[in-house]
Amino acid sequence: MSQILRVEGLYKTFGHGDIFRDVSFTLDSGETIGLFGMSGSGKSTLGRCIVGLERCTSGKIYFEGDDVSTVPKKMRPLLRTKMQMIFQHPEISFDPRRRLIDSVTEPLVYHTKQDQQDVFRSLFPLIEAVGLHHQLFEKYPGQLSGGELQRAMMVRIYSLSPKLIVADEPTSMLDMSVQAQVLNLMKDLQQKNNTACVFISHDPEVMQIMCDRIGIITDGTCTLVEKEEFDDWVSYMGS
Amino acid sequence: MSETVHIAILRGLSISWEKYDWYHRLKERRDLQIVFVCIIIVFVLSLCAPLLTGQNPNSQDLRGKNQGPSLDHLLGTDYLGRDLFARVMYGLQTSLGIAGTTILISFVIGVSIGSLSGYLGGWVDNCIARIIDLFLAFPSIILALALMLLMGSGILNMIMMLTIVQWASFARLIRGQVLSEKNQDYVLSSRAAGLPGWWIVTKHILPNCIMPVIVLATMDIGHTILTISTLSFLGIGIPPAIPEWGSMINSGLPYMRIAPFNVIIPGLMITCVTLLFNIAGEGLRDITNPLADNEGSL
Amino acid sequence: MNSILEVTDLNVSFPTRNGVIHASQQVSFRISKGKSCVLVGETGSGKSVIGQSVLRLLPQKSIISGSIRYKGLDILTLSEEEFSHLRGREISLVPQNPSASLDPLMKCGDQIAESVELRGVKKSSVTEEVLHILSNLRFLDPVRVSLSLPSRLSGGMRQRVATGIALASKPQFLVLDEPTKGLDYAARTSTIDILHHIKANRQDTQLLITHDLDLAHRIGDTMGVLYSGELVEFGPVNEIFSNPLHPYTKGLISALPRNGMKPIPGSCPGFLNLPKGCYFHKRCPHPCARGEDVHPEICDISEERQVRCHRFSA
Repeated sequence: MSQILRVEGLYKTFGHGDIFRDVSFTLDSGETIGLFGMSGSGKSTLGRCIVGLERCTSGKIYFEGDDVSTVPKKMRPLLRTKMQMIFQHPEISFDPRRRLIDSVTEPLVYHTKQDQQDVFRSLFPLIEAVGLHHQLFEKYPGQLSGGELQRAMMVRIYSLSPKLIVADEPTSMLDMSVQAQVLNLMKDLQQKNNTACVFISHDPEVMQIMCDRIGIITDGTCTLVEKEEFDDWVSYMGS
Repeated sequence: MSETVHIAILRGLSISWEKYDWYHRLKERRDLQIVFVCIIIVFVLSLCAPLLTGQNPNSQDLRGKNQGPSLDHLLGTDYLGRDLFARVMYGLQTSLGIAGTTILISFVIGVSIGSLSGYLGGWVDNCIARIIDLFLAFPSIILALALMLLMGSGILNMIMMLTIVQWASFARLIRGQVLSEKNQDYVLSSRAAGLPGWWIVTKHILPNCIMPVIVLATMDIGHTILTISTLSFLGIGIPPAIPEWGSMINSGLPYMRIAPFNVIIPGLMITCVTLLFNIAGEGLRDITNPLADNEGSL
Repeated sequence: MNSILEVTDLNVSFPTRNGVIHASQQVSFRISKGKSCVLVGETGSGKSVIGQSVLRLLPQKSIISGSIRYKGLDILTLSEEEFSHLRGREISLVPQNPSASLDPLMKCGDQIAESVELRGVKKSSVTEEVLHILSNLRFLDPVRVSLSLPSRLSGGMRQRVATGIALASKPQFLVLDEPTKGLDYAARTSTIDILHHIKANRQDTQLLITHDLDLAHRIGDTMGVLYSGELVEFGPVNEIFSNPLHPYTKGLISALPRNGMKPIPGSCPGFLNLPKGCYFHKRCPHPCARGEDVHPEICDISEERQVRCHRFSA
């Protein structure tokens, strides 16, 4: 088990206040850490900062031991592919006017300069693993359900063989049974590929199933707790 | 709204580019079918002007000046004996040619600058946005007048000057669209996949937000024709030898009583063509936008 | 018959370019006075369509057949003008997605006041009535909420304001369309509490449409489970939760995280190209031979319970 991610002292301020302060934790490969908080607690922003889609005001992020800010520009795209993100709204996670086959093969086509059909064929085992049929990818995102889109998104993400996945409330817009499908699938793929995961959610029951450790975000601070403590904390908050 | 409606809308949004959907919406709109056919006719006419009339629009016949319609001259002649019908046809070529070229060039310039500004953000965007605001702050006619007086008349100068006046409105529109589109999840997803900025803008962002700008461009063709005509009417812009509707009105005014066609026909043509393009612009928006409530502007 | 609402053989279809969507097929149920009936279903089950049918808010292109009797009167046969006297007054809707259904430029208090004024309350008493409604919704500072724009409030608070607008007309029949959709855990819990509080204090009849099983369990008296436009199970809420009969109902309950988050394999057939036999056949953990070709009818198990499954039909 190697350490994939280490964040130290992450701060993000926005105008008058802090979105989050002094966030620090480590994450090993295959491990899942949860970021739990209510709407507006800053957990999504934290997730985007970890993946590099937003910049923190201060603090350091180490990916596989290297400080991400010191990575040379040429290596940055490749570094990006190792840290992927899955979003909350499946219907807008794909370019609405391109077929899924284009969207799903795009990253690999760009990075490896291969032909789209070759890339798509190489993704067949992954497509089967997520329980979709490759004919489905001829459709446009608007023609698919939320659950199918999230699964297609996993094909795209895992096509890049990431070491870390940040999941930002991936199932909060999905129905219960679809959520069960998608989350079970995520866990499965994560175990098979030994991927580390930062799982962001506001649903404590889902956190209890998906995560090994949980960071509770309240008022901008992140408190790390173990699963058992989290259970107690949730029952306490519920009363 | 129920999920069924939501799904239907999303479906519409993502496949509105398929000819299938355009075609179906167009099929339901008889008014738009007529409009688009008319536009095609107008374009064909402008290209075929020399074929439609045997008369030379510039050959003067001072003895036959200010005549009414006759077999030789379908709409009569102007104050220099030139055939009105020929001048109107050649005038269409002039107006549409200049307007079309102007819109095309200013579209390319405006979209490039605006989308660059919107995507880059930060101080670059601030600077460019202020420049766009500056250009938009001047009333276009005044700006056009000033530039023409500076640069002199002539077709090329006119195109250049109209482009300078026009590009900013495209830039502002596309910038606004890009600013909101770049925060969508699918753009973030592309960034997370390590795709470079130029790839994301050209392949993802622009195709998703270019439609309103194209619609604006269609509507602006009509507006530009009006501007050209106004400037010619004011006596600046096109050299008087080249037939142009605005200058035809200008020169026909003194003879309004005896030869009213010289003023009415060009005026009517300006109105019709402008109206046609305006309606086409709105129609294009309706066809490509599945969320439009418009029952039909005609 | 003590039923306030009686839906009989409701069929709703939408003709589309790709075929006819049968969003609702032969749905029948009734709600007794003072009771809450919950329609549970996922995306693609057609539950929202039923709510819209009761309020006659379906798009023009829809084809409706069957009857919906409100206090004995078939509201589907009423003219728009006749029904408009009922809608928004006796029959009220709490719409889903309060962020979209509240006017973003109007203060919350004014939006509730609009509904209060419809009742004919004197102008001078309107403000007092609005504050009364807001405090009943457990707002700690009703005055501040009344003067705020919706954008200043959290998702859960907006949901409460939308509920307030519906309640302001003192309806006798309330339709709640996905009141907890899109809300985070804390807002969901407080919304469920509020709705429970409202139900306990009022005598109105409710039709609740949701995919949230916790909400259904807490608020509902009777419950109907919808799948691909049909009712597959109906009965008292507690009975269904303690002893679910239809395999889909069982699957939904097991899919909850606290019950182990067991997924139901496959996906919903949608509304187009529905299979000939049982709609759930391909996903059923105990598929029967009959289910492949023969479509099961809904049948009564007991006086209050119905199930649409070959294993239970005589």
